[in-house]
Amino acid sequence: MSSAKRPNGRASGPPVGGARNGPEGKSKQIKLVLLGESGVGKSSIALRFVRGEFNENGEATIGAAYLTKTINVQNSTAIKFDIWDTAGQERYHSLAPMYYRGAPAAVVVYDITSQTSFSRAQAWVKELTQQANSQIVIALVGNKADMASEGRVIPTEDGKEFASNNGLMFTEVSAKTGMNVDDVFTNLAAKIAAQSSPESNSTTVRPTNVERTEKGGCAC
Amino acid sequence: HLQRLLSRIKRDKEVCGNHMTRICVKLFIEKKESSVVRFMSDFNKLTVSDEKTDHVEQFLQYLYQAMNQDPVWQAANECQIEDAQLAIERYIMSRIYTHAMFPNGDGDIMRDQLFQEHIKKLSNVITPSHKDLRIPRMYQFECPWTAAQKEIYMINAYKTPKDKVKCVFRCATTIMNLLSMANEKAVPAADDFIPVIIFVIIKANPPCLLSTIQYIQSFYGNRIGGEEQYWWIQFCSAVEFIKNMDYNE
Repeated sequence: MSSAKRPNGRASGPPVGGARNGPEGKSKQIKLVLLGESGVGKSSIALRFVRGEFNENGEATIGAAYLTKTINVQNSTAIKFDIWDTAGQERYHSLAPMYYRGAPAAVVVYDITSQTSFSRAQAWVKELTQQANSQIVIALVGNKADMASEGRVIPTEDGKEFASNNGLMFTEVSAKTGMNVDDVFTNLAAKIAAQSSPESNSTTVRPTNVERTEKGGCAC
Repeated sequence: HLQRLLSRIKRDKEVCGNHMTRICVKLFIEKKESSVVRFMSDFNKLTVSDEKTDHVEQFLQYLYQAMNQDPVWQAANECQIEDAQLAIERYIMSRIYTHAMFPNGDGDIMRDQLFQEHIKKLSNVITPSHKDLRIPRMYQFECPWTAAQKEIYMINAYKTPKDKVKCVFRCATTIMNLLSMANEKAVPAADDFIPVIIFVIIKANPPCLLSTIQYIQSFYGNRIGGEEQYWWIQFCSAVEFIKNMDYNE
């Protein structure tokens, strides 16, 4: 976990939402759900990734609930993330399966300054491994790393250990400074691309209805 | 001034164009009336919802194809064809609407009525700071989000599943717009949205909610995607949550 490799990465680039870098190669649409307790900064991470800034009033984005961004992985595949934010409040927990059903990727977020948010994250991971799509790629993310010196409650090792025990990717990030945010998504994209490249076309993007040609052109 | 005049003329032209397309579609469908009638009686005989979906899909494709061969449409440009296909879908869906919307007849209607009663009772106790919502004070200035309520209340005026989903989409974006205006410091996300849409649905209480959801799932469920799908799922999960709410303050 080298800290802040590229503090601001490629971020400042394209404006709002659907940034399509449209290369000629194949492009995959990947639904990604964000899970985590309310207030851990799920949507700030997504916003930071998509827009490359934190809260500063740039181009007006009306919401951070649904965002998209395309990134390129080494072997010329483009991954277009459809980022679905979910409500983190405990009272809406029962609705979560409607969101993560069929999703090939999930990012579970906790706040390194909050013990409860870490416990919630662990519960999310358990739930996902038991109930979601078995192929799902999960990244565990500890947010607010910029506050590590003042308020850290969850040691990096704890996160790392839990992640490796459960086969998750793990990163500590700061949505505020942008540290490591892009890495979370590039790593996810790389893993998804690697997973599906050995010609397993099972991870179909979406059943776009192929036009069915009409059979009996009856007399009229 | 000239520009305004020009844009007005452009709009008039559009309206006329649309209207002409619609008239042509009407004439076209009148020619096909016999097959429409046959389609409807076949449709009403089907019981499994998958078969119904397929049947509609096939019939629409058949009509689109027939339209391609019709002399009237030879000169049409792509835009007009698209409009015409939309008009055809609207027309066909409105013909089978009752059967498609309420496949179990009175049973479905009763269920919808019960649910509407349930929401009505909730509506008496719900406030933005209700224990199931707890909408933050800064977002409460726009309460009761009348514009969004109006949007969602209109859902039954639309007949095709596509138009209904668009209606949900508009309601959702209205809410997001209002929320983002209320709070200049942060961008609203799902945490902020869900309680508000629940409140809006309860207050608007549009009839036939459960049947609407079933109708869209079966006739549009596999075509829906992207952002539309996201807001659609948000809407469904809000309704799901309302199902389980009780009348305690």
